[in-house]
Amino acid sequence: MPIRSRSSAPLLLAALTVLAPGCAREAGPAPRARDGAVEVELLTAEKAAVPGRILTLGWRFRIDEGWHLYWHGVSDTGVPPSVALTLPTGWEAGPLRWPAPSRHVSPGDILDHVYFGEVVLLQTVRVAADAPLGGVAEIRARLDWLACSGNCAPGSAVLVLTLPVERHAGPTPAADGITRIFQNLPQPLPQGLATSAWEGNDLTVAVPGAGRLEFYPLDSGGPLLAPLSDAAADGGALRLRMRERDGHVGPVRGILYVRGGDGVARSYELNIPAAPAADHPKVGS
Amino acid sequence: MRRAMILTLSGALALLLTVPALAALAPGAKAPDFDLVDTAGQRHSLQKYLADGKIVVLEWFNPDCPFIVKHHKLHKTMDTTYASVKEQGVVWLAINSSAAGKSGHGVERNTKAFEEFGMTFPVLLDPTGATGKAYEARNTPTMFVIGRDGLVAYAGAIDDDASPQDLGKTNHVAVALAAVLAGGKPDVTETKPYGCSVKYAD
Repeated sequence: MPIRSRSSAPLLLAALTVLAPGCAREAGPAPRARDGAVEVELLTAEKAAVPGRILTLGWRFRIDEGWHLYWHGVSDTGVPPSVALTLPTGWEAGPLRWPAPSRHVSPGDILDHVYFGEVVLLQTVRVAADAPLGGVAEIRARLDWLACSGNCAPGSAVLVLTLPVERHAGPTPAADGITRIFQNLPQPLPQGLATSAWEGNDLTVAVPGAGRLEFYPLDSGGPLLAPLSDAAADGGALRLRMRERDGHVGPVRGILYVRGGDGVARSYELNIPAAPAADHPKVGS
Repeated sequence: MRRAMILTLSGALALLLTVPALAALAPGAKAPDFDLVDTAGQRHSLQKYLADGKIVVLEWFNPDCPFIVKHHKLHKTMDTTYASVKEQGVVWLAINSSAAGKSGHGVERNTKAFEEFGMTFPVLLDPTGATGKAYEARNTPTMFVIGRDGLVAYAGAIDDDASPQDLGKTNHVAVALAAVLAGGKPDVTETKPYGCSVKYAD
């Protein structure tokens, strides 16, 4: 992420004000661009940047029918989209927040975790406490992605948003939608919802009463032996056979998708510590 | 058909004997044999190359995949790596497992790509996907380095940058080949391949 030096900040802000005099008090239209099968748009939940406060960004990808984008966790193929953000000096960006993906199986036992239709990646930004009131701030981002259908095509776009810096900021028309997307992000696993138990190198995750469970691994730190067969099943239990690595099994980190007996689907963050050493005999011993 | 079944079986047996792979046939496994025809009609048998004492590099290939374009057109990763070792008894084979009707399939498309990319090694066609599945190739490209002993010495990505345009800092195949050519084993025997899915038949 490009970082601008502090010393150039006053000059830069002055230049922006000169370059965009018409925008001094009004946020511009949400910037959007299309490349190939994907249209991208930068949404914000707030009409203005408030010094010292959080600004909520939504990177919306609208994906043509038949195409998909990749989640940032483990997939057999593809690469996830990336956002390279350039912010005014002193502003701080948080990590991208990723909605739960869908399992996508292709011929040849290829398992990917992807998004179809539309996905909005969320990101919060803390506005510099000393951002000058009455000025205009520019948020610039380069987005890169790989879209695939029968074939794959890389895409990219540069989006630039100018926002007034004010003492207070009302919500934009996109704010409610962004709030809903936040609420639908994978949540911390509520106490008592699920149980997990190691048995050798196998981890059993159970959610009593669930109609279907799926597990989407976040990293290959504790790789699954057979994600295709193990990581999705109807009913309330998954038995994940794990590969031992460097003498230990796990930890297991990812998203647990739960479709309840009532048919309602929710997703949760699953973080299971590595198996206790005594519980898994070494392979071959 | 009989050959395809044997290939699949040998792949399965090799799997039972080794630690399961990150995303392809694991290092240490016996490389499944194949006998495939390239775009010029020449036959290529792994067994024959091994009998001739060759080290064999396999590259899963699809000319319509941007990651193949990256390493064949934007950068000449594959051909320059091959050029650096071909005088030392290394054979490099691209294998295309695209099924009929899928992207990158067929003699015509691959002959054109061979010319367009200025390739210095053959493209073998595996339209049944039997060889691809025996190697558990899921990405184009997926790379294998097969030692003179017929075992997989390296399986995984060509380099360490999964973007569709930028070259990585480390060329894993070049590093693995250097170790194998020196009579040793690579320090890194397995990485996660990146790329497009191999376009097997539905």
